[in-house]
Amino acid sequence: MENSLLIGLSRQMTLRREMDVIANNLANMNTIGYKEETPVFEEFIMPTASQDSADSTLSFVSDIGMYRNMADGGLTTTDNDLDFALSGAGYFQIENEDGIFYTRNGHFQLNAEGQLSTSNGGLVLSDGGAPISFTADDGAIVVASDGTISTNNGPRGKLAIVTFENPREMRKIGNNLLQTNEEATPAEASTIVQGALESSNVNAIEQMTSMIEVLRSYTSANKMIETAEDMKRKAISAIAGQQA
Amino acid sequence: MQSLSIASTGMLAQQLNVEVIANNIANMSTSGFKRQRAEFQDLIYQDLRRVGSSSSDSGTVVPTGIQIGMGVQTGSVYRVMSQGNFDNTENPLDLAIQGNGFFHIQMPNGDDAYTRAGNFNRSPDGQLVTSDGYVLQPGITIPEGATSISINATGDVEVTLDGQTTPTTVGTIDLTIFQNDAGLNPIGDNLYMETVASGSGSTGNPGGTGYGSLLQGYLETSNVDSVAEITSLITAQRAYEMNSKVITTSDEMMSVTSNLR
Repeated sequence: MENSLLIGLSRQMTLRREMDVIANNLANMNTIGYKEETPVFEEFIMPTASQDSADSTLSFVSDIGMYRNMADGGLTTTDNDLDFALSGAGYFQIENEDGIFYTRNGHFQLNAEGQLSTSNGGLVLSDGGAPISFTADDGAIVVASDGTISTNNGPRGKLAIVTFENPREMRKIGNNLLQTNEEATPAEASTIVQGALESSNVNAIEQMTSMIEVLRSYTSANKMIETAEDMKRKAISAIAGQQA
Repeated sequence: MQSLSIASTGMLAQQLNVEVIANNIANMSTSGFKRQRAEFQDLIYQDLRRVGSSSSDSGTVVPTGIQIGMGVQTGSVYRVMSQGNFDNTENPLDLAIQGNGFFHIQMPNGDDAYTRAGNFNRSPDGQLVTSDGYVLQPGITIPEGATSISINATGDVEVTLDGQTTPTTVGTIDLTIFQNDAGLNPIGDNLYMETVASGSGSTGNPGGTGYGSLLQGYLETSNVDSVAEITSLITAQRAYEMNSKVITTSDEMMSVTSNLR
């Protein structure tokens, strides 16, 4: 009897989590390089008390993981020399005081020392693993599609673009940064577009539809709990009524 | 319900986005204005099932894990320092900078400020000043009785005095360049101040390596692209609406729960 209540509850808890994920996707609709996420659920079979039990197995729902949609987002032209969009798989390599991180947010700027850095102050690394520096009289900074940087005063190295065997294993740590223990290999299939940024790949219509779906499933799970509770109440009053 | 607070970060972010766009559109005809852009970043994540943690004692690991994001934050509102167009004004004291660099202006309190708006005027004693009367550095005085003023691409100011045929050089306008233009602090009135982020400025002649050149009789228009701004405005408004829908839906889910009894 309790089981139908608990099964309903397991559904509602996963739906709330799905709602949180949808909310985060929609909140990051305009976040540069953001990748849409979808929760993945699985059936959790509750073992019965004994094999001879008359009960059939109960199936609960539980969340097992998240699926990150790795498709490229659209390109937004900004005309800023230090904005880079990555087309194809790959990440920029960023070093800050906490170590090495990866990002697809190609909005960079120069710090007071003339080093290419993110808006949080992390340094952008070249393929040699060193920060990239410019001087004030370098003039226009031109980055080729393979990441080679040139200025009026000559070349300035190449932006590091790396890929991983399993990019979904990377942990998000906020500030558009990702972290991983996997080994980075230079990306071959990606190109850099200067003066543009990769917009988030969140599909708003899809998210709005799943939001409606979540709400309706939540309500029907609620109905189920309500019915189960109703049955219990009736049973109690019926039994109590007979005794009296 | 975290989705309530997550959606509210989304709404706040889009509100700021609209404010930045509004300021760009308001300054569409401000000479030397550089448009701004809001850059957003995802907020911290809650690890419910950590990626890479072991899922059995035989060494299998969780391949994706569960991370719930907490919303969005503003990373920076940065200035796009791209070149604006040139507007022909035929005023001899209007100067446009083609390329890198800023005019150096001295504020009344002695502070240094920098601008790309080259609409200069003459003060009562003949000095070149901004429309607010702040003096251009190094100071250049146009003598009384000058019939024509010519400023060349490298900043030399030559005047022809009444009754003379050869022009006299009265000074040179310098430009200041910065390591990181986008790090300058705007103080209004088209002026910028040096900051730690911009690095200290280096002064040189227009046309030198890394310095832009001057164009007399023109003003640099703002680099705001109205079509692009309106498009971003639409995106921002829709994103705002969708985030508010998330709040209503979360509210409805909570009311469903509270109506259970």
